[in-house]
Amino acid sequence: MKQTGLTVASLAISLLAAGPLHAQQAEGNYLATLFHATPASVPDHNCVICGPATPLYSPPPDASYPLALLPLPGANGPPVKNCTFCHGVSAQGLAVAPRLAGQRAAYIQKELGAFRNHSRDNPYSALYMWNAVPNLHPETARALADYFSREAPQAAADGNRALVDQGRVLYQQGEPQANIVTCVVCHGPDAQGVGAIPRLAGLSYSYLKRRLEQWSQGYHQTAKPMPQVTQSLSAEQIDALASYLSFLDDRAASR
Amino acid sequence: MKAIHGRYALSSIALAGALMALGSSGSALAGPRESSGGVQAKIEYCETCHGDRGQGFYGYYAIPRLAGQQTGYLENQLRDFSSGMRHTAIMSPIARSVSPSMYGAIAAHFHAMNSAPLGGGSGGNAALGRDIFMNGIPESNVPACWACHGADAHGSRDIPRLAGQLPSYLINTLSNWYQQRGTKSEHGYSALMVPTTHNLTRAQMAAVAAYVSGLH
Ligand code: HEC
Ligand code: HEC
Ligand code: HEC
Ligand code: HEC
Repeated sequence: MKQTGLTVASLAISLLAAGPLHAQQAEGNYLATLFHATPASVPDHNCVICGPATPLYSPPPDASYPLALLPLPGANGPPVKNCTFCHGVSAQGLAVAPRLAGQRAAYIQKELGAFRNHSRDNPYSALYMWNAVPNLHPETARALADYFSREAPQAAADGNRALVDQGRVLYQQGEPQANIVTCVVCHGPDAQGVGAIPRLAGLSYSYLKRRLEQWSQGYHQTAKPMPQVTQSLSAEQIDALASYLSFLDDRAASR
Repeated sequence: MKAIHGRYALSSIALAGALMALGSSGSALAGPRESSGGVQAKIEYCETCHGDRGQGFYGYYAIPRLAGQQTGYLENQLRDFSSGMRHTAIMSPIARSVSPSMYGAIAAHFHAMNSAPLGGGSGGNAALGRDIFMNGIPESNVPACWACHGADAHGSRDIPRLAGQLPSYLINTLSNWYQQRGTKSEHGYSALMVPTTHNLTRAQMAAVAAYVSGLH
């Protein structure tokens, strides 16, 4: 437990040292203020940690939710606080850190490996996740993946509602004439994922959009087949897919 | 009924044998008539799902292996998906986006690939599967598979390769044969499998799938 505290503290320090963080006004959760996106009004768009100039995440109305809400694992359980520090107390995602709740355990483990060997090399991954994993024992990684996968996911529902229908058609049918694949065949009819293929339903719009853009920018080329999947997608199509998926509430869908 | 199936299966073996002896259909040699960029982009599109070595992929649905598949069979399937003779929600619209002039080049491309089997369990008994593959099941009129698919399960021309195919795909396709391919494909080959699929139990399908999916 002492070690956990130290890690969190050193992460916080390294975060602060990493560049200008734009602390938001009191949200109730001081950790959230350490790790919040640039408000739209701050004209500092070269800052890689700050993310796009649009607000990325609106905390739930009860932003002062107590840590006790989180079903913390027992004393011998995995050190989830090392992760929820950035990913949000109930792992529903926070600022640029994506939701982990309900994500497939095998996928989480696969990504932890990709952060560790630096094959997932986009800027946010390099800046935040590379430092979070080197000392993670494989057993701990497995326990964390298992823990987060069992938490009920909530839909971010923060995309553009006007694009939902376009996104749904694209997700379900692709566009064979333009060599665009259907996503259903791998991610499933409800975007619930399977095995090491991630759940997409309800992830945040900005995270999905960023991921779908990054493969074509040359990052994370080992994440087959996604670099190939995304090369034929236009910016508008990415917008539509990310919007549609952000609203998908799959709590009813079987895991 | 049984007698009819039995006789039917036997005569189909003779028919398949005759077909195998007929000589090259030459379809693999038909070059692309489209610009090669168009064909190349299409092939990459296929590989997004079927794997960049044609080895198949376990998505939410099993995506079958195309590597080493017979050219005649590949072209027949594209034609059938596109005409609706073989209907699947995913491949039918995709096949309609492929111009028939590309069939030859696409089939030749995948036929030339020689990747290792992807593996994966079927829950079946591979030893029983080998027995069915080599000897059939006389009491239920199931013919020996090797008679048509070849002792190495590599198939020939219009008869598909089964070696290295994903076991869950094999079980799916055998159990949905009648609904998915029916008996009326233009080339008549799908009908050859109808009695076999009808007479195999699910456990026997899983057994053959376990055996052939491990073959190189
Ligand atoms: C310093 C902040 C920070 C900490 C601490 C942190 N993460 Fe992350 N994590 C992020 C960010 C930011 C991303 C998004 C990276 C990207 O955009 O590629 C991320 C991404 C991930 C992903 C990829 C999710 C996906 O859907 O692909 C996983 C898995 C993950 N983190 C697990 C963990 C675990 C487990 C821990 C605790 C050991 C942890 N993280 C600690 C910030 C953090
Ligand atoms: C052939 C299978 C396949 C198809 C088709 C496919 N995906 Fe994926 N997708 C994957 C796999 C595998 C991963 C995990 C890659 C990795 O990180 O190793 C993935 C990852 C993703 C991620 C990252 C999720 C996260 O949490 O970071 C997104 C977003 C995504 N896919 C969206 C899509 C969309 C949208 C489509 C349709 C246009 C699509 N995928 C089609 C297999 C597929
Ligand atoms: C979106 C993913 C996807 C794409 C892209 C795709 N396929 Fe398929 N393909 C499938 C799936 C899934 C099946 C299994 C169909 C079934 O049985 O329901 C399949 C089946 C097939 C089969 C039948 C295999 C057999 O053994 O009978 C052939 C042949 C085929 N595809 C060829 C192609 C070709 C050629 C392309 C490119 C023009 C292509 N596919 C693109 C997903 C895809
Ligand atoms: C009479 C010859 C014949 C015999 C005997 C035979 N098959 Fe077939 N099989 C075929 C032909 C021809 C096709 C291609 C059908 C088509 O084009 O739709 C086929 C297709 C298949 C397929 C579909 C392959 C794919 O990629 O989708 C499977 C699986 C299969 N056979 C399994 C078996 C098994 C198992 C046996 C033995 C129990 C067997 N076959 C016996 C002729 C035969």
